[in-house]
Amino acid sequence: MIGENAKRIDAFDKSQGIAKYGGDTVPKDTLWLRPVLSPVARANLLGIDKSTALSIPGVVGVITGSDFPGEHKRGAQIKDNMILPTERLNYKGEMVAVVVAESRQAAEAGVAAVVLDYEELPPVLSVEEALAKNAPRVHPDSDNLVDVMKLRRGDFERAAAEADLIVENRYRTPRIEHSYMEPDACYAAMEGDRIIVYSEIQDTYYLINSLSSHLGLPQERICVRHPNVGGAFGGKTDYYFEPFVALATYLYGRPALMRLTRREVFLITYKRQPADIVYTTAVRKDGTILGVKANILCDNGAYSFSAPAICKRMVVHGAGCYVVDNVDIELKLVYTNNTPTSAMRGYGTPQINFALESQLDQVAEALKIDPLELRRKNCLKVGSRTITGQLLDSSVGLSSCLDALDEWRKNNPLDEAPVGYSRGRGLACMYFGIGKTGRVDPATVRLEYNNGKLTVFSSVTEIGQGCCQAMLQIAAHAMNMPLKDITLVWADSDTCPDAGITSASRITYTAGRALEEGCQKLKKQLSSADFNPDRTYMVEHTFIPDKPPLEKDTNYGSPYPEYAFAVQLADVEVNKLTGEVRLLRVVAAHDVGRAINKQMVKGQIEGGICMGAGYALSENYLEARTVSFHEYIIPTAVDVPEMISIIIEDPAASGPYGAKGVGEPALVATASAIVNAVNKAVGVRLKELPITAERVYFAMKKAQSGKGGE
Amino acid sequence: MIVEFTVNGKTERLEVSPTETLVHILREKLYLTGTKEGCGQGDCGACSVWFNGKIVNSCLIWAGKLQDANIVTIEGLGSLTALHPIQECFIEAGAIQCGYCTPGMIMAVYALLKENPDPDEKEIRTAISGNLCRCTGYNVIIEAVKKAAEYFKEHREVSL
Ligand code: FES
Ligand code: FES
Repeated sequence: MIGENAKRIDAFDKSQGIAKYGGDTVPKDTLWLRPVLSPVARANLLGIDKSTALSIPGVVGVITGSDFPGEHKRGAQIKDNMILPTERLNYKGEMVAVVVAESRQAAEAGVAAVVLDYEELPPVLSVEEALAKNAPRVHPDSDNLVDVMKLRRGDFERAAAEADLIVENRYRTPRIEHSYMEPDACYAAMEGDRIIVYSEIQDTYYLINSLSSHLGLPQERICVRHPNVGGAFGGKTDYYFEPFVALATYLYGRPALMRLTRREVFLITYKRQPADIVYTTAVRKDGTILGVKANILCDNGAYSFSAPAICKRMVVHGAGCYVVDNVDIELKLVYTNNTPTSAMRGYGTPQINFALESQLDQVAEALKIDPLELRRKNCLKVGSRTITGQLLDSSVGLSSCLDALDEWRKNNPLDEAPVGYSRGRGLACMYFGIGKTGRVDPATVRLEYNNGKLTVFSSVTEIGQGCCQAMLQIAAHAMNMPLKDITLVWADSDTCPDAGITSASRITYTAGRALEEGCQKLKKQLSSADFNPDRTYMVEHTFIPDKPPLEKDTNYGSPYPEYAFAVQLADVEVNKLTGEVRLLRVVAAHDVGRAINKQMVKGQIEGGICMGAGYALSENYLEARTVSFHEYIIPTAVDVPEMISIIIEDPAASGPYGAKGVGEPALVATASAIVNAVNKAVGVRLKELPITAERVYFAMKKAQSGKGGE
Repeated sequence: MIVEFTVNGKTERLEVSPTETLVHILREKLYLTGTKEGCGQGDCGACSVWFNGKIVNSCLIWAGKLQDANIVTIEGLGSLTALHPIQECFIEAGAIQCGYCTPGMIMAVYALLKENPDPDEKEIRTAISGNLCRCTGYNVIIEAVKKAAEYFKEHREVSL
């Protein structure tokens, strides 16, 4: 079963259009909720006049922040956010009030009729502005610095003094919208005196706790069920409007539905944080990395969500998958009046990967070393220590990935480009720690076995990635049972124990391991002497990955139980006249520990490459300006390259049958590899993503006029 | 206004407002929620349906255009007991992850194969280039379409 390409259990319903997603349930008496958005980036909110809206036929109510009976503050890590603002508006597109109505049309008319009384203030729209002396404070009770994180090891200055070559550059990455195809939706209905919330959140129990606190109701009164989720990519790790939908249902005793429009998804929801990185790499003539230094500025946006945890991961991954003894990394996370930033596939690592992998190619070029050999020389191996001091004692498949790609490129040299074009081949490596950074994140499963049938209960979230299928295959393998005799219940908080958050590429690893171990326990019971075939056997099992927290000030420690590794190679063709980059192919070698279902692993890798290609070439969220798919450009079927996945299996000792995660690793190195390939093709070094045709064109022009690519 | 049209072979007579779009009528009045709305403005193809012999974005079709229209949605392909061969091929190829783009994608492929039973790769890519997918990276979908085309070539007795 492990490794088999069994058909996904959810594919049948999805192919027929009968699978229900968040916005698909609309009984006749449903109340429609629509948000009123802030038209400005920063203002004092003086009042919200609901009266005209309430006089519109069909408008039932207007929810504002003060309507919440319980806790008004929110924030996964810092409570700097309000459920709905009552005093200040902090970004353009922020939800201010929610109209509740009998129909979509009435709700929309209501939105247009709500009058916001506010006093506009000069906004802080960039990190530079926010850090300037006398800058206005985004949050009056705190300065604009959300957090400063440091990781120092050895002595970078000494390393730099001893180095034969120092490369220093500044890199910038854009704000990225997840662009899951399904606009966020939530539906709720009463069952007796309980509120049933159909939410697409990637963390069931976090939502229950939050709803209970905002609504001032005991947790038993709330149940979270999951519809199918039309993609998430980190964008649904936190909640937006579930509290409004739950409150409307509770207040009016009727089903309630809220569904964002695409424009609202762009305006309201958090993005991948832009980073501004000054990176210095010090090396010896032979290519040995002696030290790295990075000064990173990250735009937190108006509210913090999970940005602090993301930045911590960025710092911890700050030297890449290499042995580096002298490290000096500092990151500042800064409040601005931009859209909040939080979790998105890669969780802080794509930004830093772009900087450090671009650096390595410049080192390779200066020292005339093959880029792959340079990486091989420095790469982490079994027995190496990461920059947090963690000893890697097994499952470090990076060298195997490099070997595989080396072999591939030898057998597949890049063809000559047609006249007017130039081709180039580039590569980049990455590693990714599985699970939350240095935080306890257990997963629990419950097993019920009766008469040849097994039911598995666990609150994992199927967001499209296929974790449910992976869970089923793990159970089938462990129990040696056919798939058809196993049922997985994941979508109901009443029956499913807490699997923790479905993010950080942790769910197959953590919940899968809990399942594997739970099955072993169950098997013992089933093989005992007093086994009774009529009895139902039950096992509840929790797996807690071993990862002590990082030391507070130094960030030293062993924050992840396992790491995934990958190397990706990109072939590009650049139009020498226009600067347009065409991606010909990406070859991706990924150490996934063990592939539970190869087809699904390949699916993750290819989807990640596609998203990475968008990051490299076209995607750039401009505040409140690129609010549709004709302004915010994601790859289509005609843009994607040939993709070749090479799956390396270097089993993880603590993973289910050796599996680690692959969801996020799939995307992390792609943009870096593409940018390195463009450099090989036309000799210019692009340091800001995305590398649109204009940017490449102007860089080429500048290079021709003799000033070097910038 | 009252309009009469056919969806998946069934005649529907409905009171609609002229400013409503087909995607909302399908989803909210006829409860055919297989047709998805990903953008509501013609950018993503999630709402693709077969409309008077052509593939359209149903979010761009106003109610006023519905009189006498003949519409096929994803619910009109295959049955609960037997999948349509295109659906089969999508599953086989691993072309479905979150599945939100899938109904629209399958309808676009249906339209393509009806018009051009033997498309080359470029034609397939172009035909679905108006259908965004954020999960799969598209290549497995292309594989699925090739398989489906192959299937229909081998089974000429099966009509699309
Ligand atoms: S919903 Fe119609 S094209 Fe996107
Ligand atoms: S499968 Fe998720 S958008 Fe295509």
